Amino acid sequence: MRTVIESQRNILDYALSGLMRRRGKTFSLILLYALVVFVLASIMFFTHAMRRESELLLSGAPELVVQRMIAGRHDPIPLEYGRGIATIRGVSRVQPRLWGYYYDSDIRANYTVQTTTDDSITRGTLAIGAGLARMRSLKKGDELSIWGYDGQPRTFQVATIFTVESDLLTTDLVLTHEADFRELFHFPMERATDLSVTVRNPREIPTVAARIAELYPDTRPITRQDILRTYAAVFDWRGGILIVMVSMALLAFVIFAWDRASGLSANEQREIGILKSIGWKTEEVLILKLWEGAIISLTAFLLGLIGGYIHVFLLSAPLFARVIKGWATLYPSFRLTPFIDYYQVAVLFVLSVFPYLLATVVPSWQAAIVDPDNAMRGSE
Amino acid sequence: MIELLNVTKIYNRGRHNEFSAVRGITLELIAGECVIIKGPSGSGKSSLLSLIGCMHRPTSGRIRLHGAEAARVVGSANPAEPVEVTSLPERYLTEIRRQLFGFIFQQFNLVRGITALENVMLPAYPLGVPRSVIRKNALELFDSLGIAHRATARIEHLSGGEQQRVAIARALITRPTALIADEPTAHLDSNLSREFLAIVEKLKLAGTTLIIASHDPLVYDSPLADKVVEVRDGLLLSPGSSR
Amino acid sequence: MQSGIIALLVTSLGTAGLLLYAARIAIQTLRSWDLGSGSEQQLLLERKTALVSTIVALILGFQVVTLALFIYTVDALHILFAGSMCAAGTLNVNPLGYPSLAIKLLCTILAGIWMIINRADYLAHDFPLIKVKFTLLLVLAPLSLLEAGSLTSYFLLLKPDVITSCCGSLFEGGRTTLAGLLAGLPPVPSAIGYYLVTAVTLLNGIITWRTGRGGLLLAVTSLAAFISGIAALVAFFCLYYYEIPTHHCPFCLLQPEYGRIGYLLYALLISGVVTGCGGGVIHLNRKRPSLSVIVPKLQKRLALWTVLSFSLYLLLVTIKLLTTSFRLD
Repeated sequence: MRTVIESQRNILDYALSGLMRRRGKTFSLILLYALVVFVLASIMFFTHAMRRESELLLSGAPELVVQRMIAGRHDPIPLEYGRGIATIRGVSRVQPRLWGYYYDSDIRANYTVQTTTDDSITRGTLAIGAGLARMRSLKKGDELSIWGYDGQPRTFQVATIFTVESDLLTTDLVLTHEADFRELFHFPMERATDLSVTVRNPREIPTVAARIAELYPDTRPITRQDILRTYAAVFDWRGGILIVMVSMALLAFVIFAWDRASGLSANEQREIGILKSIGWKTEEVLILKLWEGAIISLTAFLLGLIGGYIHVFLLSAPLFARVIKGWATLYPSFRLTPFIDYYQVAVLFVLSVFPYLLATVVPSWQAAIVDPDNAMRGSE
Repeated sequence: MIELLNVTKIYNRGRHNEFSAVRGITLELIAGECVIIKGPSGSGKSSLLSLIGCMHRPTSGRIRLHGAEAARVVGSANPAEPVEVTSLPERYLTEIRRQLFGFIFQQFNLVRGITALENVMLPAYPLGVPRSVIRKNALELFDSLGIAHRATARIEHLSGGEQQRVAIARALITRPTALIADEPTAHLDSNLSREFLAIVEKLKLAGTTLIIASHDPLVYDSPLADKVVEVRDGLLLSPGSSR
Repeated sequence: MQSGIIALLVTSLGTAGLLLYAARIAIQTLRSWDLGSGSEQQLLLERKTALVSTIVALILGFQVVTLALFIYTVDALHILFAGSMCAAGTLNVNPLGYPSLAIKLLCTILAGIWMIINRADYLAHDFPLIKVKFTLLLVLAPLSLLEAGSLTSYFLLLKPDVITSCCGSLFEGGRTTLAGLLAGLPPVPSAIGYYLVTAVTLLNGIITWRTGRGGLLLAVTSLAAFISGIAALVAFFCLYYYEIPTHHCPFCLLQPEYGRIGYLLYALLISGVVTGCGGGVIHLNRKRPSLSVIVPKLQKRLALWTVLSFSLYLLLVTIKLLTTSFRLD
């Protein structure tokens, strides 16, 4: 056993020294390889982090939301619907929600404006997200003007600036008092944007949803599970397309690697011939070549992984955020919460290292089967 | 120690460039002896050497190895029984070769771009000896061959004589029982050739079997040779004129 | 998850491709193998065996990793399917889920056994098992192709809208499916059965390890220990992990709530059955002269591994049984 480990160590050492000797070739290969892994890692980290953000967003969202539809469009829902829904068996609470968007032409960004029942927000004050505070350089106690439906500005005092786990959630959020909201947007009384329904037993949510649709045919009940699934599908779909594209790149790279591994330089061929002639077995030369492949692919994998992490979580994925984030408006200084699990790393590993090993095994063997007496024959 | 029975070696068999390098040679080599294989270039000397040295299997005929080492490699139950090399898988041939033989090639066959020291250590890498031990043994060989000061130099910076000593050191690193040399003096002037023969003499005194192919009179006429055989067109001319 | 699926598909297709290539070599070799010949063709065939060994070794590594990845992926996918709570539901979404898992498992075990035969063959000097191992390769290669096909169709047919069954209803006693059958086994008798079978296997393993006898029987008993280990896990031991008297799911054990203990438990069972059966296969060939020394030595080592794997499994489930506060009434 010890001799096996020692011989592997020696061969590994020699593989390393060989790669260092062919520095230019090695580094250009690793660089190219790492680039592919980097793009792949970035996509995976990014879609995954976005999905997690949205899951966080929705974890605070109500289990069941009821919207009213008029001609297939979302319309404010009468509060009396809520009183009706409250009588359905299993429903513990119905809460009207008021929310909407506000476009700030100064900084060209959309805010999400929402009412709150929090007592700290009284009339004339509001709470804003940390991202918004940054964008408008607001501090607690500062004033913020918002243009009303009639073209007149109203001035509010910033009562709280909040930060929670996810930046994406709160960056553009503005919380107001209900009366201010109705006045600001001239929102009809006795109506709400939608209704949030709490159901005592989560298992009964689908039943309750069906009952609501039956009672009020002009409404659309949406469960949190539905939204979650839609989001998951959307992100995965977008991410999937990118991954397919990158996989094509990976394939091209694998072909390149094959080509490179099978076309050894005259010097390398001579070296392998010498190794064979001085008593290295075919298996040992094969192991030498596989070690080289392992070193190259692991180095490139780690470089790509670290690069992807920096790109996505420290630099906020400048390279392709637009592609995936599609629906999002403008997030000037928005940072994803660093989040990686072993699963992603394992997938990335399988996706980037396995194809390389698959592609190089046959060429490595071809390199290893040089006749040991080539060295002798050459001299005759 | 080695027995060749009517051995032939044909390259590229069945193709238009078929070529018989060795044509039915029978030869016995005895442990501890110095055998010179004499003959012009192209006579099949090198092919014969590579058959003796278990570089590959013969096309026909039999090669048998006597001795405990070869028996141990094959895992044979009876060490007294000779090992039939003819039908062994390649990896066994290699295993026997690196346990039993050290090679000195005409072109030296040193790896460029690495140091003389690492070149010498190379054959021992797969054997499972710790690197530090290999290094120590290699440095001892450099010392005894008088090239210790060149150990860390790269191969391409060494002179022909130095390169050959590195090649000798490499052949000895695995402590072989037999040394096989192919035209060892072809690239040396007569001074260096004499020095080479002096090294060989020391090895012979230490009990190493020597098998040398050469068409240099300095070598085959030297008093070192216990037996000189002459090869021409793949055939044995003088079947072992022992002195 | 999408990326996980792509990774699995890429690997299984690559694996199948490479194995088919290896199978071509196997056919060539079986046809024109002649050890006595010194021809260049024979030499090339011998060299190709080194290539085939490397390929299968590589693929065994891939299989082990992707088996875990596959289970993890389907486990994580369960949120996409209404009604499912773990891998059991995802696998049940379409009829290819469970067969895919079964084929993948079989491929892994066969590749493991192949490596053991290959080891014995490599240690001997006259390729005594070349026919055996290349014939087995001709089974493994189409199986791996089948795996790739089944896996691809399984993932392509995954429709997120399907309402599937959760493990609670799949692994419920009294159903006629295999899952239901397993879960429906009476817990206590199946545990007793498991302990008996494992005791016999361990005894057999220790005898083989010490004396080299009973290697063939060990293949049978280790297979029995593998099956009864899974059966008892579903019918009995998992109840102690979940601490719910009716939850019989073999997949929830893989979830973080239970420390992902399932991965270790299944790995131990697989390692036990591979070494046990592999030892049995080489035992059949111990009479060949070149293997007469090698096989018994290798077999003892393998028997030791079998014993270690199964006894560690036994230890883990028994400790859980004894330490948890949950009691089956």
